[in-house]
Amino acid sequence: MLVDFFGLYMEHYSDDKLLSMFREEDSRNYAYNLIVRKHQERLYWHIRRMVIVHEDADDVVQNTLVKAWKGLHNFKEEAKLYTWLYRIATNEAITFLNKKRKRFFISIVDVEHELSEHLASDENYSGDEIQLILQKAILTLPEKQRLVFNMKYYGEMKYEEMSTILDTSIGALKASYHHAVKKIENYIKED
Amino acid sequence: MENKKTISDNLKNEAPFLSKIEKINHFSTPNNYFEVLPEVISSKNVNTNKLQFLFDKLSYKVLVPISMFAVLLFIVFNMNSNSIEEGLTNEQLCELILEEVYIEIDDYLVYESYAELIEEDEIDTSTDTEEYINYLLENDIDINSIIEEL
Repeated sequence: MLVDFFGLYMEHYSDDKLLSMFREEDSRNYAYNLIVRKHQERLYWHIRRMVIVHEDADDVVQNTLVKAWKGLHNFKEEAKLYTWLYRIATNEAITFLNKKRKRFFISIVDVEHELSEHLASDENYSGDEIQLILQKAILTLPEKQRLVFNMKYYGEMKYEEMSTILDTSIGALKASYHHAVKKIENYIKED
Repeated sequence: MENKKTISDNLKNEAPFLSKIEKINHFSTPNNYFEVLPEVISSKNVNTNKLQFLFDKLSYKVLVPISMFAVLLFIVFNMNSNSIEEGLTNEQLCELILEEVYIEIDDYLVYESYAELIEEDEIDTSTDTEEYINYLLENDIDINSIIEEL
């Protein structure tokens, strides 16, 4: 019932409307609650594909949404709200992975290897063998390529949007995606 | 929609093996996760606001006076450590005290300089006494005869 109630409002309220509600002191908390409900799932899946483990994704998504709350007062409407949120989420996910590496004194490759091992025993992952191979293939990619691949392949984002979020040129993103696809294809073929 | 079709077509040409794999999200979350998350975020934001408010209040009522006091202490300490006392020798300090020219001197410095001067005097006296005794012994003079003559 609660979800239906918020769902109804989320459909009616555009990001612009939610932002103008957020600026009003009286409706600030309510507006932010609606913003979270509207964008939480896309942000969560974007983060989850990067950090793999649910508990880690939960931490990162919470940090993202708390930071967004603090920064939303200064948000300029030159950018779209969800693009801005994606940007924070991406930075938080990358920062999290870097911290994880430093905390356990392990290299980039080993973190991805560890995540890959985790997938097989994760109760919140139900993919079959070929899906597991695909996920392992994605985890062999360099961080930025993995990000680009996930955003394009799973998120089906336009290069223009990705360019704004990742602050990278469209040409570089296309090249990055192309390389990622080739590497994954080879990994699947060999396996 | 067009974007979706283009991605799919490109993938078939570029990566035939990958394009055959069904694109399904096999990750899942605990039950009701997305229903609870907004409430978790709301409570975190309220706590953040309370902390921010507390800090604002603290910064006006406590932190500002404390930091001003600390700055004042620092200035006073610096002025004292740069005063002329440091450049004076013990003798000069004593002279200044005797002449009552320099009266605002730290008590500790005064005691220290007097103590050193007294020690020096004591050392001088003991050296003189030793010399007299040596002289009497070398010349075989009985000290009792001198006392009697006196």
